Amino acid sequence: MPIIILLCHPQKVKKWETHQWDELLQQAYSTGLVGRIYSILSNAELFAFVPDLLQWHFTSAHTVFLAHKHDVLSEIGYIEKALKPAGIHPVFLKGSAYILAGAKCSQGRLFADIDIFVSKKELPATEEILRWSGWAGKKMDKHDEKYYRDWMHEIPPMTNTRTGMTIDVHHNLVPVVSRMRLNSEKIFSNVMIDNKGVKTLSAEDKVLHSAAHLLLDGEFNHGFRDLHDVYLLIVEYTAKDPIFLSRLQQRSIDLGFELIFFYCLKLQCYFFALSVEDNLLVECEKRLKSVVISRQILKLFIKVLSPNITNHGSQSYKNALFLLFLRAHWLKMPTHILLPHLLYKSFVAPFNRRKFDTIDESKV
Amino acid sequence: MVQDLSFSDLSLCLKTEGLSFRAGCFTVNLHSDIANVVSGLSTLYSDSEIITEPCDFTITVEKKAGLRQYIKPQVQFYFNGIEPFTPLPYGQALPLFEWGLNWCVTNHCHQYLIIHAAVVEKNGLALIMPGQPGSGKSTLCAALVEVGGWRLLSDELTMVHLDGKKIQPNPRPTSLKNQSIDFVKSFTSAERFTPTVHDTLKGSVAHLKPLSINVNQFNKTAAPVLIVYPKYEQGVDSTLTELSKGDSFLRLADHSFNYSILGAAGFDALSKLHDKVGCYEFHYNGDIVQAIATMDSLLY
Repeated sequence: MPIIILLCHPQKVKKWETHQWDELLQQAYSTGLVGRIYSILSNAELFAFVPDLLQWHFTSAHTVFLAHKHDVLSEIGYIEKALKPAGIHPVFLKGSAYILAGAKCSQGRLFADIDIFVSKKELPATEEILRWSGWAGKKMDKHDEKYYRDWMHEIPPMTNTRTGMTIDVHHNLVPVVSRMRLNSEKIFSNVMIDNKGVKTLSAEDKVLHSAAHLLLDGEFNHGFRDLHDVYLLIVEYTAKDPIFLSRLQQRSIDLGFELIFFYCLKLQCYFFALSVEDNLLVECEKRLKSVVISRQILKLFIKVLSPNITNHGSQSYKNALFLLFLRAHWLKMPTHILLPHLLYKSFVAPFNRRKFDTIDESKV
Repeated sequence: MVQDLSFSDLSLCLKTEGLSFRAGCFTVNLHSDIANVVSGLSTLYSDSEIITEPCDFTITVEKKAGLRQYIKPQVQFYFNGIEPFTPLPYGQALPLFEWGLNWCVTNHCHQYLIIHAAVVEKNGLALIMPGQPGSGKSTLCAALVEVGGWRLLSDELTMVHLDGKKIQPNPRPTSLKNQSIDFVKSFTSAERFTPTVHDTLKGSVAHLKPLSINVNQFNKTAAPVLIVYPKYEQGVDSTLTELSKGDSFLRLADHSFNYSILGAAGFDALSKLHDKVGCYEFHYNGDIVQAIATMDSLLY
């Protein structure tokens, strides 16, 4: 597939014909990677090989990225400014963290909201200060409120009323009721602080968090892009530290993320031909509860993460998506919470939503 | 050209490999198995060139799958597999395609400053008409083009080169709403209209095919000299009032889709655009002969 060739071996585009560029553009749009491809091509001085008629798509996406980056950096400034007087120094996660760390995977990448991470102890103060400083929560029904407050790893999203940008405040990296418990203290003790005092996760935790988010979430709209984020992070950190992958493995064991590490490595090898030592993979498999099941689940991930959109209509794709959705929920919540939640979401929420909509409309 | 295809060939092409054609100054590859879309295309894009090169926008407009299709079928718009909108009732497939294509342009084409305005040209000079929905800009635009001999550059999206000196034409069908449909039909041939679709988010909607001579000049830019803010009001005397450039600058920034994305480049484009234009507010009562005379008088 052209997009995979470009992401792994950009020099090969020199020999491309028009139809390959055509396919690339479609795959770039569907995966949300148009801006990133611009960066890759221009960093490698290959942009001149893009057919003239198609060049504007990539330069335009770059324009959007520059504006987005500008907005994100000022938003980070607002958040820091609001929380600093209370002595709260949040850890920035995902997209905003990549920008702060100047990571390669931040180039050309857009994201919808800013994610921050504070300790459970600081959570009430953080929420209150943000409210005083112009952030407002969206109105939601009791069930959704409970879902966030009692079961999840973040509070309901808030929007900065001046800029319109959304913030997700986390107090853990995985849902607190999930089957994959994580002691958030372990994460805090390992954060990176830049020269301005802004915090992001350590290199290993950035990779594991990104992989965990992708593989536990059950939604794959930006799956391929997120998978490529992880690839770029691994490549970048391995260039600085040749034994980064074994460090990453050790960290995954410390955090109880062995399964995530296994899928992550396997998927990186499959899609981007990441070079991984054989014994590392063998070691990973040894730690799995059931190699057979994990291999089957891996096949489902490969199916839904493929950048080839022509198979999205197929039944096997839909089945894979559904099974992974179920798996994600299974991991997210214990059965006694999960079943009532799914029943509520399927039968009660659609009616409540209607009620909420009419209330909102009458206000307008 | 699209009109060289028979109706059944057009329909087959849309169903199988997709039809690649020119829509304004962009190229589109469209897949659709919906009869309204086939007939709409054959009305609106009959003068459009068929394209063999890679297209700018790969679009699918099709019936939304699921149980609901047997009770109240819906239509969905896909841009390379992405669904930017919630689905609409099945009968609104053609307006959805037109709106979706506008979305493609305003969300991706930041090589231009894009303003929500109609724009027409005469003697190489462009007249920009920004306006909120209901201001009558599309009606005035249709009158200037169909009766007044102006060339249609765009009825909805004015694309300003970032040097502020040229307007890029994007001659696409004109979207008319509610009473303006019958009004415009009174001075143009009804065959160039698609059937009116009722009860959309914007009320009743019909599209008017652009003149073939306008379609063919999609690459002939024009120099902006006039910005006129129309406001339709029944029963008033038509009046033209001069507007300060500062006022117009702010209003145009507000009417622009990508001013904030372009940042400094957008500010520069708007400043340079305002260096050479006259700005007016135009209250008009629907007397198109007088309106055309007024706009013509501004040119000389």
